[in-house]
Amino acid sequence: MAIYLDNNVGLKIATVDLSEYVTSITLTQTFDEVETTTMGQGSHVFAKGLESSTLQVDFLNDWAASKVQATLQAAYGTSVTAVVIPVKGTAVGATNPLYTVSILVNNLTPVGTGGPEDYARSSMTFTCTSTVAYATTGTF
Amino acid sequence: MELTMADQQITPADIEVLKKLGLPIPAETKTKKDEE
Repeated sequence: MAIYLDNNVGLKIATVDLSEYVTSITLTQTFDEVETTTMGQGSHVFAKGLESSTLQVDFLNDWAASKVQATLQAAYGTSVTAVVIPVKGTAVGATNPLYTVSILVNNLTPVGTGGPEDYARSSMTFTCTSTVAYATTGTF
Repeated sequence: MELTMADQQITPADIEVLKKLGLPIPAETKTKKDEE
């Protein structure tokens, strides 16, 4: 069995490792459903269309050099590479694959969310601008 | 789909981010542009 505690997911954006600031991450792989229903069919029929995935990340904000805000600000308005691994620090393999995708950094929430009692956070959903590549070899 | 090594290579946009951050660019890494 290859289940794991969800407390060590790795994330790199533009090769910068931001894992230590991630409080939640969800990579949603999906593709368009293109209707191909024709006469004589009793139900809707769909075929696979273009991939349309998203990467949702919640960060603890950090304005230090080369950390969360500096990296995202530098990438703002561009498509950069995001690499995600389920268990950082463990070898890439069939039970710990790498997911690599290009994301369009088209939204930032630098001031973030949270009240006086909270550390400032940012919650962003990035649109993927490539297919999600899945690898069982390589390095994070 | 199995990821190829080419898919893992750093992109020009990634390099621009690293330059803005003042971080070193991995010297051993070829860009996709370099390979063309």
